[in-house]
Amino acid sequence: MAEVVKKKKTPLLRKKSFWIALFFVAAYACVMFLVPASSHPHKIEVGPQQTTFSLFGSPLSNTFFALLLATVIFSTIIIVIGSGVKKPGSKRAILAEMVVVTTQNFAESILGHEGKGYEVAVCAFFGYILISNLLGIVSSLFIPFYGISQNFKMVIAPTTDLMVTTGFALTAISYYHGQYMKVKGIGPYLKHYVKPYVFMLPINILEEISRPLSLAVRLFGNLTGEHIVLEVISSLVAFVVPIVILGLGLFTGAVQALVFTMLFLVYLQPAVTSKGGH
Amino acid sequence: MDANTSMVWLIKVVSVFSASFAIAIAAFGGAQGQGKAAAAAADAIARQPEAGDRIFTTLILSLALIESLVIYALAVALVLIFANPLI
Repeated sequence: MAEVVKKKKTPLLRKKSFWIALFFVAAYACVMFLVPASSHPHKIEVGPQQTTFSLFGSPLSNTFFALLLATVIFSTIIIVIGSGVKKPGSKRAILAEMVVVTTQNFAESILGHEGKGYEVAVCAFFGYILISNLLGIVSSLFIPFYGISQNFKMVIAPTTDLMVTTGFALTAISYYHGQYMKVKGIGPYLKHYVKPYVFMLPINILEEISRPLSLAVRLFGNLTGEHIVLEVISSLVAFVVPIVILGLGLFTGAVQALVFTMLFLVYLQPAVTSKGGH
Repeated sequence: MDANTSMVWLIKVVSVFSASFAIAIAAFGGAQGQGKAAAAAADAIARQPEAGDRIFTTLILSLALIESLVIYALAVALVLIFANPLI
């Protein structure tokens, strides 16, 4: 009882975490105002930028480092959560179970009962793209320093690079083709190109080509647009105002990761279920 | 100002104008379509709240598909402004 009352009455000014957070905010503000004013305006650019680091003589782009960072974060989270499976009843085991059950329900809501086993791909795509998108929010801390060095652009959403999103989309689409051939066989796979009538063949081929294109361009366009808005607002007022855009960015990142995964499952539906078409 | 410089200047002016115009039209059409979709989905959920999850899934999917066309316009505008092949 006394413990609860004491916890309730702890004033904000005596909390350690409050002072630590305030210290970081104040330090960031001081650093930002110490930056010479001439270096604040920078040319807004889209796509990958060169950094001063290079590998075998060719300069590496900033999205390379960003994708590396996203990979490290995602694998760390997955390994930490997954290590709890060996100890049933622990917090990590419950978290792992939650992740698996949620992704399983999501896969089965679109694929039906044949959707068992696809939660791995769903979890991989959703988690990786979500973490890649959320790095765009972290990048807002570094936007005021873009005028100083290109290396401050290394923390950025890697999905603002069309190459990265094309990689995601091609992975998803080749998984779909592979599953089609594996589940239904080579014959039905080739037959689905001429499915309603033979003269639909060019349209079906065009559809297969436009799928990865639309997946890649959608993700790239959304994240790039958000990042440009963030840069423009930050170049006007760099300190508190961009928080509004950050909220929007959180929503956009989550929704785009969800949409990518959902479209992946919708494309997968005729491949692995007995229901034809979508 | 020789002919080549004035041509580049003209292309820049037309590119910026057409990029902003493309985004304006695309946002207008996309907003109309998304508004209709969201209104229909809200209506459907109000009629049949137990089907809300499936309607929500369909809503998100259709909103993404509508928005992708706007995003194509954004990509064209970005190409015109930041990576114009004609300049």
